[in-house]
Amino acid sequence: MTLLKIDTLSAKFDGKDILNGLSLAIPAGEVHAIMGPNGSGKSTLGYVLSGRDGYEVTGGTATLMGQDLFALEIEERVAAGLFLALQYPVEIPGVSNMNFLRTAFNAVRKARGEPELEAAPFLKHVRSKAAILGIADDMLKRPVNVGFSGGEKKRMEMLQLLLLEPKMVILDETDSGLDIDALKVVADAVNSLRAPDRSFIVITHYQRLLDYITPDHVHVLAKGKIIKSGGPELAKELEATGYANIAA
Amino acid sequence: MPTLQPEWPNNKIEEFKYTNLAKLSALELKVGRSELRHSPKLDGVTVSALPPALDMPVTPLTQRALASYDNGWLIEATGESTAPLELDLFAGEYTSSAPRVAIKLAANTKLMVFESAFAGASCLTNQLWQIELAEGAQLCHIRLQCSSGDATHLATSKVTVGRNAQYKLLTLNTGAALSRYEPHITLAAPGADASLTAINLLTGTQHGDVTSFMHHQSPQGSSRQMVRSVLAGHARGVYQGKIMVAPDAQKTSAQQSSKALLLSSGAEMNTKPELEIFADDVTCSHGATTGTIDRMALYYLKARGIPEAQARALLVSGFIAEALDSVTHDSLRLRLEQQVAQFMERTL
Repeated sequence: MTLLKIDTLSAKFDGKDILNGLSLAIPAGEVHAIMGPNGSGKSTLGYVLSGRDGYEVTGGTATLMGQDLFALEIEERVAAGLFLALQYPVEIPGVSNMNFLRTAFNAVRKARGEPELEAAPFLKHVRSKAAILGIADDMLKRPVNVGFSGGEKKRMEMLQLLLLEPKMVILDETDSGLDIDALKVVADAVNSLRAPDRSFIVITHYQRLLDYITPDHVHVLAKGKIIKSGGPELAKELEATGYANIAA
Repeated sequence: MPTLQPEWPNNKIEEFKYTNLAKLSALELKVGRSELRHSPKLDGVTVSALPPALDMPVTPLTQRALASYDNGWLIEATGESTAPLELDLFAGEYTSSAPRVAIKLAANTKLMVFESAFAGASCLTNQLWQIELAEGAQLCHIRLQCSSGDATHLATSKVTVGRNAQYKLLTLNTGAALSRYEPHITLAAPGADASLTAINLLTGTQHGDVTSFMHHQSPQGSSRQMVRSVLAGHARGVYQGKIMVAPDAQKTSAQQSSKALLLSSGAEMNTKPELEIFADDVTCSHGATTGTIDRMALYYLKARGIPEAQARALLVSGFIAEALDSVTHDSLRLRLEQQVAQFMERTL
């Protein structure tokens, strides 16, 4: 079954064409890596699918399990099963992680027609997930991402992922700014979530993350479209030869 | 019997530049008699009829209130009470009132006051408060101004903080068409400490003014002022914060911070810090910012499944969290948070 289907997608940001007829189909249960040089449209793809303001779809379609993503609000896409882990998670002073996580968790539950959790059972639930990621209780009490290191921010992204149980996960350069230990935590979380009904798009500039998350397919993005696809060996090839040869 | 009253101040008077009260002369209200409801007597606290006069600073509001006194109370603390004393000052609807309250804390006493600052339908109240803290006394004063939407709530307080005494004030302004709160706080003896936290949650055409005077008269005093304003619709917020440091008040530490979050393009915040420093060994700081909802933060919350209105409410609660954190009493904090939630429902 195809989980996510992107068909000749074009999009603009700030008046410039960034995506130019991008097509991609992600079957359920697979991990796809999207690699490409800076400015190729990697992050734009994530933002367009997620629905961020300012990114204008000018052509094409994207469906998640048959649902037209572009007909949905940002939060409805999340309830439908989409999750975009950001390259730079946002700091929100004054809002504790616990409050944020519970609000998000219950909003998504409600939208999916599932029962919401009261504070006490939610605390128990979030602690069990936090333990998997080595996130201490005091981090949950602190304001969202405020004063967190790059690694801590990405751990919190993974915690959100574990709680919201998406079907289609997009990791946008999740490896940027991470040391090797943090990288392993993120990779372990992703690997533990691999399931027959869940898929991942791993957007990355470097091969490094793919040493820990082995993709089923690798795609090269240049000038807003997929120019080459292959198996995991394509990532290694890119690492050796650079993007210039392929993009040319 | 009508008494001759001073005119309401208009915006030609510097202190009323942003809050023109001249239009109040057009109000035709009957003179009301204020009443005070308060929580059951606490150990070491007495509430009684107020002796004749208060010693208030001379301002347009106090002059007017002094000419139209209607009722008053004296609250004295001589012990340490853990439960808050709840005060609810009110007058009948469509009335004009000018009550007085004096609160006196004896040396080394401790009191928490929760003041429900309420003016009823179409009412105008112009209150005088005199608060005195003797040496080592501690007063935590939480004030919730949630008057009727068409009311005018005016209050002036004169607070004298004694040696090593501590005055902690939090005022949440969310009611009234027009409100002005004017605390005049004097750090009168060495080691006095005062903090003023004001949260303005205003919408529609509400006008909310907090004008503070922080007089550092003695050495080693410290004061902090934190104002957080969330303004929606065509609401207008005003914060004028004056810090005066007398020549003798060395080793003074005085801080002031005002941040405003404008939820609509029609909302407006007017901030005016004033520092008059005559001592040379002091640490004073002030800062003021005005901004709108952080779009990236809003996107982030929505990208985690939180609908727009809820996401905005979360960001607003985050904006004022630092200010609300000064309320450590759980049930009082809850009452304030309920006001915040109601404000969100009204505006977002």
